[in-house]
Amino acid sequence: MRPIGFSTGALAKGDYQEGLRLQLEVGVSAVELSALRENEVEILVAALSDLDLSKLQYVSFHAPSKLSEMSEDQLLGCLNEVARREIPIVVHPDIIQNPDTWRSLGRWLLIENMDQRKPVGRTAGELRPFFNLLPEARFCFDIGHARQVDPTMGVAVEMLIEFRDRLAEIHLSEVRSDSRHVAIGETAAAAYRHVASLIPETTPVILESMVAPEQIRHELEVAQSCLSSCQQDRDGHLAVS
Amino acid sequence: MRNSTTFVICWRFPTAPELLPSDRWPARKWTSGSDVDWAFLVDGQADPEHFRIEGQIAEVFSKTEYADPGSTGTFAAMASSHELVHHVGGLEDSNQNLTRRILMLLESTSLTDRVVHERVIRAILHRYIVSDPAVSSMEEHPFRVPRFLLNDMVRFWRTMAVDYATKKWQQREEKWALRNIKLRMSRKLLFVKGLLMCFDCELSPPADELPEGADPQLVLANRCFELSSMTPLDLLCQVLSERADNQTAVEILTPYDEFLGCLHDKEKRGHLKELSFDDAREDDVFNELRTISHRCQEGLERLFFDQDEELFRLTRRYGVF
Repeated sequence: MRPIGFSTGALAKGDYQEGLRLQLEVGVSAVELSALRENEVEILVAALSDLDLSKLQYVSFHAPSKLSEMSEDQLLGCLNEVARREIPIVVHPDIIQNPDTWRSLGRWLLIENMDQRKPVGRTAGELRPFFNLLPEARFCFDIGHARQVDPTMGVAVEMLIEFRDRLAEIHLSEVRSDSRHVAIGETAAAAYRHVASLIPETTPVILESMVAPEQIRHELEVAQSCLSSCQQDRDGHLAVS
Repeated sequence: MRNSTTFVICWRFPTAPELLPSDRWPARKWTSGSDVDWAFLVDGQADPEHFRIEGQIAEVFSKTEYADPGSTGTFAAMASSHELVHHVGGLEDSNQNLTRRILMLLESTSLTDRVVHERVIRAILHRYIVSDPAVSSMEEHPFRVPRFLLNDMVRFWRTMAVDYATKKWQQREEKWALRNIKLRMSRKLLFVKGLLMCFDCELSPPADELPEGADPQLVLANRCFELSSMTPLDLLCQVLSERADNQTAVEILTPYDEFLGCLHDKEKRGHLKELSFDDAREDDVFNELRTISHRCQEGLERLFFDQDEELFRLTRRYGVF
């Protein structure tokens, strides 16, 4: 069974405790602890030892998407503590300024592909230099970002083939043209099904859809259906195996 | 050195486009007097502001040393990705739309955010390849020449040839000789790239087996995308190095180099612009270029028909009927 759950930030922006509580209530099997803003990092890292994550099959940590007050070294000081606990850390490639220092995170560093706003990390070609410099790093594939960059899913296929041995986590949601993560619609779901067979059934999935608490179960069902091993016949009918 | 290329200035909603920062201009490698075919590509919501931006871009280009694009309105204008992707064939697919679309695939370069440019090219290729699967089993022949794309490449080549005659008629021989020579050389080279892009699917299928579950059509579209980003000359040279002897390469590339040299010569270029049809038969410059084009044509025939069994098979199979 594939571990699946939400990012705490998607359900309760800036409130990891509420984001976690909402998910544990519905019995998810995976969670991403979100510290997307730099002022959240130290608090969340300090709280890690007190969180009851025992019922979860998979837990990851999302590093800040932008640094303005914190230095790269200060951030890495915090993230090394997360890596010491063997928790995978999702990082946006554009915050990596000095790749040498990020090597300390080893295989716990997960580099995520970016949306169209970012100048780097949007395609396989743009991610390649980061993986070359950080050979132990693994890949967090944001399927919504990939579809926003290229709705034909050609970019998604390239990344899933080139980085398949590094694939460690999936981010799932629909990403609008303004880069907001929303509930997965039909068109996005159809695009995701098209590449689902390239994603191993054991790869954990983290939903980033910003949905209300009463929509959590439904969004989990939609997500499961997106990543079922589906085949489309010539008439566009889906056969789920 | 190239004779032409198409610049695309991309609009990425909702961020305002960077207006042609000078450090993003490609290094100049064009013959002197080349015109610049530029388009302001909008891939997103329509916005009245686009009109003002189009004017600003036109102003920027008017201050450059490049010649103005043609008077047909195909370039130096706004273009919508929706028309490029959705109006392929049928009544809506105007000559202008066909030209923009195929030149996007064959020789365009983005001056701003390349992700938009790439997205539109991928969407166009998706229309040709993924949205038009072959009737026969994909499992049996996953990498085959994409006929829809090939047919449009052929249509574009023939359209250029027909338009040459139309312009000669409508524009009273203005720039007639220049168009004639370009049709024989640089326009033909575009068609060569289109053919080779389509043939590549069977000439160079992926060396490794595809990962389980990978859609061969998407992999094929990705391969065509890679090839679309190569210049026509680069792709031709790659095929020459893999499938032809040195003599054939020399037969094609030497006259092409001479052609570029002639167009780079301001005096000769200016002479061709003014040359009338009646005077052409006795004109030294025109006849020099005509001979060059015949040598290049012979080299191309040798490449496609005599050098490589597989390339010959594909040319015979798909080139005419």
